[in-house]
Amino acid sequence: MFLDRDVNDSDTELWCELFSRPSSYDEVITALSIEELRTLCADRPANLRGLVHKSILQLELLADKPELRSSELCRFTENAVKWLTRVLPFMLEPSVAHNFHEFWWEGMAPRLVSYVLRLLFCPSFSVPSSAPDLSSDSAKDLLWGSAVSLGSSCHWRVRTNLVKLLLCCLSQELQEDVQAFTDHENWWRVLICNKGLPGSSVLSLSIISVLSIFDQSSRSWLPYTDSWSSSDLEDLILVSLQYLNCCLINIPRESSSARPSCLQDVGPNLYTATLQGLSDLTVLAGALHSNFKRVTDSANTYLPGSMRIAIFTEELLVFSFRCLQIRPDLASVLSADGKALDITAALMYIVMTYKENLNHFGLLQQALLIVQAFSTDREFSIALNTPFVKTFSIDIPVFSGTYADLLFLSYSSLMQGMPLHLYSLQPTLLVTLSNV
Amino acid sequence: VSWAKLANVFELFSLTKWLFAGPHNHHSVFYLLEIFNNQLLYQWEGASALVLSLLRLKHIYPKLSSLEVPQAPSEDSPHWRPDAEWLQSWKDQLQLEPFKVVIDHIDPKIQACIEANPSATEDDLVSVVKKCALVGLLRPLPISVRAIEPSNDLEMFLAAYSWVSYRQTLVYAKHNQSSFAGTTPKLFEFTSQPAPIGRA
Repeated sequence: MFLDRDVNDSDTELWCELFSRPSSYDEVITALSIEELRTLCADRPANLRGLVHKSILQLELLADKPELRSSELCRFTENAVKWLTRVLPFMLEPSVAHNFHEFWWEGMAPRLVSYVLRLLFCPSFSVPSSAPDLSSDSAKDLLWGSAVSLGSSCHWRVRTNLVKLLLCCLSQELQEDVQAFTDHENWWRVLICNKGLPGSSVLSLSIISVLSIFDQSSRSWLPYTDSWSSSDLEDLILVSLQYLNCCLINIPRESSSARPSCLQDVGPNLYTATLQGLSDLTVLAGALHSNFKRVTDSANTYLPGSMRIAIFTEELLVFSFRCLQIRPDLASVLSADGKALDITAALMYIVMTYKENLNHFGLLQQALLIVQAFSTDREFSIALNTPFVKTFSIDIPVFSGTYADLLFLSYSSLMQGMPLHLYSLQPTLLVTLSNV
Repeated sequence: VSWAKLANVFELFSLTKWLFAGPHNHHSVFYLLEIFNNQLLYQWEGASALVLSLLRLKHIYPKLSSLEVPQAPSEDSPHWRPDAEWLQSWKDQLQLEPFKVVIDHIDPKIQACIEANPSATEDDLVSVVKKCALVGLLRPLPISVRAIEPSNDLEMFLAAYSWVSYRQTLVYAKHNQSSFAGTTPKLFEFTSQPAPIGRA
């Protein structure tokens, strides 16, 4: 319907069908194939602009008119989010991006982002109708706890889709080569991480704290309960972490003078600032600890395979390293009560388990960087003298000793039988040992 | 066990074959000596096992203190050839003094112990070391802690690693189709497609 004619805003029947029909993301994908999307981007960009505009209007309607909120409007809006997620990566492709440049940066991009953020905690849509207003600045305290997990699976799914849409916006850089990536600022990141957006500080906090409510220890009392499938909450945490990791990418650039007018006067990165501003790190520390501990716990069950690690473990590695970069004092907080030791044991388990696999080089590098970040903290070096009781299978000689021995033995074994692809990790290993 | 293992690594990295195979390979020996020296100087109480491991490797000391550029270039690195200037730039900075002090002052006592009691156990030797002190024999060395410096390379790694995992999530986790199916990322190359850990 978009390919063979120009569509216009007033074609109510068309838009109504578009937003009412799909029941799943797969249907949206089937309705607009890759080839059709490419043709649209190149030959009929106005139709795509129309689709995006209409979808954003749908988001605005739900956000601005609480009195109109109905299950039908919510369904239309969910579908609008899916359409946007479908078309955005193609509109951002370098070969056609010029067709949409003005469209985004003369008003549409800020509108899209601000409404997506507003809808993240919208009663009756992404949180239950009885939920308190979480988009105001006064809601900060609520968001370090149960309020983040407000709602049930259907709300988490909506929030997951909204965060995925934000990720699609950020994905422009994915399609650039390394040179362009380092040379050009990602305007979408500047926009999304803009501290000036209304309610943004609360929303950023909610995304960071979403990790803290995934208390796996309380879910794991029955074996196999979490082996069947991932939960919707786990999916939400996964995309939230991916989103955070992408927001925290920080390539230093000399100038940002070419920004469009809507991006003038933006402050420092919202998510970096939120992490810097956290006065109490214990919740974050607890969340990181319980999720990493899962790695070694799952390797030590009385029924093999009855417990699995969280699907977001790799994202957690990147995020933990970012936190340690932005808040070096997190290492002391984690070391003070031994949490850093459990995390180190989990990281050693990961490293020794995946060391042979060339494909997992990034995983190893990331795990080792976290231990190196820990190693710069004096408290951590002292804590390493704690006796280590081995409870999981790891490829190092049997020993009785401390966590320092675990670290030394794992690293020695890595360096001795080092496969070629790991040679570049050597400085990281040796610097860590020399620090502790 | 840990010190013995790390001493094995030291032995490996002290081989001239390794040292002269690349312009930065000597850094490994610097780091390892720093690790040993920190322990000998500042944590003597737990250093007995290290001392014994080092004494087993005492043949390395003369080799390291009199390194010379090999005549024939290494076959492993055809693009790089070590020269005397390069060797001179770091050779004198190797902190070998504590190693030498251990050999000069503790080795005779260990040898005496073994001569007196040929069936001396490891524990016997440890107690000999524990009775020794190196106070006054070692000049203090600085302790340095190396933090991770932000750099473009590190950011590139983090960016690529973040995006790789995102792309995989959509492709492999639940949907067979993703928003990115059909697009061509250029930020990094896929040489292979590892399944993310934790995801079946």
